[in-house]
Amino acid sequence: MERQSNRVVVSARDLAHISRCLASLVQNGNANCALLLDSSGQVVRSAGETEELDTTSLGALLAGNFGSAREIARLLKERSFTALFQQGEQASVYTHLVNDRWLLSVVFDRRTQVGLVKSLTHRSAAEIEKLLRKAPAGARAMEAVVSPEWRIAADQALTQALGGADSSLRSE
Amino acid sequence: MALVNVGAREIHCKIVYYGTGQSGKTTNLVRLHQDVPEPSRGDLLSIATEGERTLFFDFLPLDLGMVEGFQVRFHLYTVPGQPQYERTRVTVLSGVDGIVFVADSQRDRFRDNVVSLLEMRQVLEALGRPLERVPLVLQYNKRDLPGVVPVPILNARLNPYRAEYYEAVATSGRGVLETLRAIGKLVIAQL
Repeated sequence: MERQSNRVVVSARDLAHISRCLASLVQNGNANCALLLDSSGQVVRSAGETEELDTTSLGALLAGNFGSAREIARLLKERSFTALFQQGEQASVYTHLVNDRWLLSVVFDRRTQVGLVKSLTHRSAAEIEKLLRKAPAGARAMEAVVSPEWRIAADQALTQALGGADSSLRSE
Repeated sequence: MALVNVGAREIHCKIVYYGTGQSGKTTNLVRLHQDVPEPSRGDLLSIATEGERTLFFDFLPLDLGMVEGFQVRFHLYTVPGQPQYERTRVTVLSGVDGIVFVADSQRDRFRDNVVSLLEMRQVLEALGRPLERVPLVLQYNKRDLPGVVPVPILNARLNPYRAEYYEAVATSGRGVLETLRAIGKLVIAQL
């Protein structure tokens, strides 16, 4: 993965590695699903039972949650909270901060033990952290994607998605 | 910060509607949820509202569809506008790719707009994202109300960077789609 001034690029190779890591976490931890998010709440990858889950909204909420925790830490003069645990009657969520920039969240139920999930999540977080620290691999792929032609096509897609809204109504 | 997931062939961008309390940020998202054709818009998520006020944020995902093999998604957020939620606004602004500043055009809210814009600038600075480097569109909302502040005055105080601006009546939908289109275009240009 690569952080640039205004974007993060995830290469196909990085994503394959992350996918394996998440799948292993779900399987070994007997969890429902696992998600890797960026700190804005965008889902990089998920694994496990996610078909019935609105992962887009879940990502936004988990990131908001962690953002709040960060501010609480600040008020308490704590550098950061590295993990959050939300316990429910049926479902629970354990979220771990990775590299101050990513969130690894695991959703699980009573089929497994909290301690096991925590332990495996820490291990997976460390593995993903190593991957994120490696040399960037996505820059060339990024340039190939976001070409001037791509931007024109994206503009058109935006207009179409908004039902053909015309910006000529701009006030001057 | 845009996420370009080459492996999953997805591009995600975050757009935040910022502004003073009850300037119409949530109303913008509600109108977009009503007016954007269904295949493109997701569910509107409003978190912890008290009466008409947002306490955390609203969230609306917008799907632009496939663009040359990449799924492009905009994630639209609002911030809570009341002064005491400043730290929540910091959280929501983190990782932003584009901002719509929704100003309330009423005369008695003029100062609140100025204060909100100043705070936004300071928060962005603290996040390492100076305002002049973040795509920005201004929306002068509530233009249907009597005695609103003239646009040249709003521009003089709220728009030093000469960002694009739109007059709007978010309750009726006027200017709402146009504002989003404008900020979307800027975000795409800066990817």
